[in-house]
Amino acid sequence: MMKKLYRFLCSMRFGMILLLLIAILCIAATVTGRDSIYSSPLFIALFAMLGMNLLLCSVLRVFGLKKQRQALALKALRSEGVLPVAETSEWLRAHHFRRDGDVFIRNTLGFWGPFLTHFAMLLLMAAAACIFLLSQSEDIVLFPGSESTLGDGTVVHLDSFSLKTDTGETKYLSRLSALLPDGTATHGDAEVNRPVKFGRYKVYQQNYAYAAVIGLRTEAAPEEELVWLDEPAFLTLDGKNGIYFSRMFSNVTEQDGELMVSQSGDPVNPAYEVRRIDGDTDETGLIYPGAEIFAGGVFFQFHEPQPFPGLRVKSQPAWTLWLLYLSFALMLLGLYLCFFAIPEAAAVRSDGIALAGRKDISERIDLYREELEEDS
Amino acid sequence: MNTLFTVSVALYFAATLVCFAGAAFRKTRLTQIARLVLLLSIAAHLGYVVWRGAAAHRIPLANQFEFATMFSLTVAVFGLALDLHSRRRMEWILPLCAPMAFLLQSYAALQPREITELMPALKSAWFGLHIGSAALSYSAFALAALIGLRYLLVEKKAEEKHLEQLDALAYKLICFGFLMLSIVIFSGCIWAEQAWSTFWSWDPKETWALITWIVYAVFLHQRLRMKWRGKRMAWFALCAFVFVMFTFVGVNTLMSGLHSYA
Ligand code: HEM
Repeated sequence: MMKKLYRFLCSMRFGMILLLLIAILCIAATVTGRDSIYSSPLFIALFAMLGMNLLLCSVLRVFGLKKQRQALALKALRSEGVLPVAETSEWLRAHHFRRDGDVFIRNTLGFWGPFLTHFAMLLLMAAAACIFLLSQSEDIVLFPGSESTLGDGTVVHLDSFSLKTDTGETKYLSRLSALLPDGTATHGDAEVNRPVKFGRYKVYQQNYAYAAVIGLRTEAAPEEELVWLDEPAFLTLDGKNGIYFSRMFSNVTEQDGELMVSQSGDPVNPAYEVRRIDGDTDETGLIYPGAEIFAGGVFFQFHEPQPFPGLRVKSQPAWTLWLLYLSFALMLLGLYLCFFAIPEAAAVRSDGIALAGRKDISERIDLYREELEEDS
Repeated sequence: MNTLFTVSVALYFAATLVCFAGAAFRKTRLTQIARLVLLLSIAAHLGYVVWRGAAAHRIPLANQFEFATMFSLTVAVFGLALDLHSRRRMEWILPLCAPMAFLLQSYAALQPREITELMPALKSAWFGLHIGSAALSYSAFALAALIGLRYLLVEKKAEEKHLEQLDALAYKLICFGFLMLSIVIFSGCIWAEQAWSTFWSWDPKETWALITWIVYAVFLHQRLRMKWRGKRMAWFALCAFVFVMFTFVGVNTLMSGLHSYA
């Protein structure tokens, strides 16, 4: 009973059932939009079992490769001569058959195909698990001129952010500088598709949004100080009087005498919704960029909304990614060998060459025959 | 230059008609004409694609229109190449690939066609490899499905030899398509790591590519062990293509995710 169960767990059939179950859960997740399926214990268990099954059923079969090779040689030795070739050694050389004991084999590397493919699959799952377990990421919001301190003390500062190049090409570019924990100061640019590396962190340019930009000054401090806001805030000196910024509209239009507002999209005709509290005054309204209002002893100058980047900071050991990429390369090589380097064995007989290979060897024999006919 | 596109649609239609006529009346002359018309359609189509790439200063594979038209082109080229290249005569493939190319090109014609600037995420060295291999993979699966269809249609009356040839060819195409699909997925992972910081995010397009990959992987194993050949193989090639088409069209129209660009 136990033995039977073990045999089933190691079987290719079980592997295929697992693969199909994974596919079915994926279909369910995409159709219902329930992304939680991908992190459910069942889903993860299926992958774990697939890994175990791959290991037992196929990767360990690498020890049987030599036997496979011998079996193919034996098959060739037991087959009848089917190709009436006169110059056998020349023909064999021309078709890349190499001597292997009593027979000639071509595409010897092909024996490694399935092993390599499955080993790579296992490596891929291991690398993915490492990445999942060992990487940490967080999204940070930086306005130009502001900075953020990361987990290990690295300080990242946003020097500037732009949406387009000088030539008008769309390019989200964050110019960053960083102070590493060991005191080294560096700088670099994060662009979409080109993350920048600071110590153990990689900073990815993800997206962007627009922030309200408000200049503040007082009689005593006439130098304007800029405040960037992407969420509601109360700006005040005395804690009572000032302005309450609630939100920004990207486009305000007038239709039939009524104001239409929209919050999505890049600013076309932007306005800020602001509540002004000053003494007995308490009024809420739309303020357009360029306007200035006074409240609680402060002059508030409203500027055009400015874009700021959404950045993702990620730390993960570099080897995990290289392991993943190695598994990709090995799997492609393995698949190539499986499909296009199919081993064939040839034995030389008095009546011609005998061939052995996979089930479709008769197809190959026909091709070789046609070739011979054409040549003669 | 849009005329070149229209001409190619018309020529594919003409090629389809002549191919059908050639197959129905078994006239070698008609088949030869069909081959020529298909060649002309490919020339016009290729001209259009090259012009578009030059006009846009990039590989023309960035949206549903460009991908669909490339898909159509690769199906036609694959079909004609198999017909011309193979030792054995394979003119039967023409009436299969010409209508397929025509249908895909018509689907492309229904898509928005203006050239727009690439969004930043698409400006990557992986773009060509990722989407180019997708076009190759889809067309290999498409031809395998068409050959499966032919198998089922001629099964009763064709010689054993011909059926074996169909089976072997469809299998080869599936192998090639599978290898290409693996390249699509892996290059996509590397690219996603650079663009979105994670190599896999269970976005619907990704997930459906994985589902398709699993379906064909299971088939490859079944064929090896349980001898899924002949009729079963034909049915499989045909049915599995539904997954390819869903990944291509269904995901874009029915689901939204990171891949919704155009
Ligand atoms: C997960 C993805 C998998 C992929 C991509 C994959 C791929 C392949 C490929 C391409 C072949 C060779 C087919 C051919 O030559 O036509 C193969 C063979 C095979 N696979 Fe898999 N496989 C996977 C999973 C599994 C699993 C889970 C098992 C079983 C536990 C398994 C067991 C086998 C066996 C036993 C063979 C035959 C090897 C031989 O005859 O030497 N595979 N696989």
